Amino acid sequence: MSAPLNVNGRMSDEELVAALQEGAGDAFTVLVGRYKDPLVNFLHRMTGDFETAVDLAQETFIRLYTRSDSYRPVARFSTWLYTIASNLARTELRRRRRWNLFGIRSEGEGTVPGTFGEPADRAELQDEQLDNVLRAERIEEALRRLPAVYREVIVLHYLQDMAYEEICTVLGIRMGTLKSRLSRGRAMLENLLPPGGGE
Amino acid sequence: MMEGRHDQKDRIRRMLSSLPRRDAPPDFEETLRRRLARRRRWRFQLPRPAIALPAAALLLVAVVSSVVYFTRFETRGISPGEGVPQGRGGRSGELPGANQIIVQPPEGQKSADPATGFRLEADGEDRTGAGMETLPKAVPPATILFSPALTDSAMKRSSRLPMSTPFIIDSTVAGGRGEPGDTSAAADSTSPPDTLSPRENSAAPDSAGIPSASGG
Repeated sequence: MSAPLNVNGRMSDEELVAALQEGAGDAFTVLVGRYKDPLVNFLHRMTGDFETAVDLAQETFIRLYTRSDSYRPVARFSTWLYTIASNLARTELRRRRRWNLFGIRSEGEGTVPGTFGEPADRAELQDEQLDNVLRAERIEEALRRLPAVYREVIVLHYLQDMAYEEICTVLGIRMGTLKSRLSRGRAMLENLLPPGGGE
Repeated sequence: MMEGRHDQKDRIRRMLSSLPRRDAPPDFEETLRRRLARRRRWRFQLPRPAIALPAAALLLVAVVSSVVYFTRFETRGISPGEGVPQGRGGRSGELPGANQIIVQPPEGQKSADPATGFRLEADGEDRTGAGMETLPKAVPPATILFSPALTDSAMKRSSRLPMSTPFIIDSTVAGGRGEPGDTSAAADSTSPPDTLSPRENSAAPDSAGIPSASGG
């Protein structure tokens, strides 16, 4: 009989996945605790909808749990996890675009309260806070209007602080493509923002 | 230029880092646990639909094929093999029996050749019209049963016949292919049937478009 696996918070991601592959449920709990916030944040920026982001993050963890056997330690665990999340986000965006194509909703409708362009209560905010909120709204709106291929590289690089090589692995693209998308994405983002909108 | 690009990068980075973070809600793990448990339950239920779906598809195919069989063959008193002539193929690319039409006999009249099942063949005496009197009377085109394999090309060929033709017969009967020595075919190919001169008209074949045995 094998000894029970000793899972603790100081273990690396790869060690935790190895423990999960051997049936240690605690390893899954630790991994969820470690990645739930960055993953929700990333998916929120990708989809522009907090509820959808939470749903997709949970689906990502479910896939991690059910398909942990397919992970091979050739890449970092975070890369693998973000690849799953990114694929789910792309599928969601594709599905939403299909629905919008045939839907009757006009642009700007369907925003979930508490996400883009919906601060909690503006009356209670001070001037400076209000400025910050409005600026964030403008940036989020510009980010949302960015095409998905440019948005994902911008978010992964500037918000998730991923290295170029890691982004290439997550998105399955070449370095040249990544650099070109980043450059175009930056230019488009600046064009989408009003002058001084981000400052 | 490089400085401008660095400025742009910094500006974007500053801008995006000023965005408020959206962290997972407090009940995230609880919801995840519930979803995982539900997913595990589904996994046990998977074999049932996996078996049921092919079975339902098989049943559907059986029902549809039975309905088609009874409506197409059983109600008309013929079996699927009867309509297709054996051992006589059409041109390459055509299904056997594609240029052949089955004519129903009028009620109460005996068939000319019970063995052939009232099929008009382009062989032998039929080409000159001899033996036509032994064939059944004309029936309206609507009652003609076309072979299921009748193709568009066969329809086009049969449409070359004069409109008054009582039977739509195999195209080779009408001489549409211009066989050597067949003057009616030549006339047919050079001038439309409606523009025949009176002389030609008197010498033209009978209204069926087939030279009668006595006149020929």
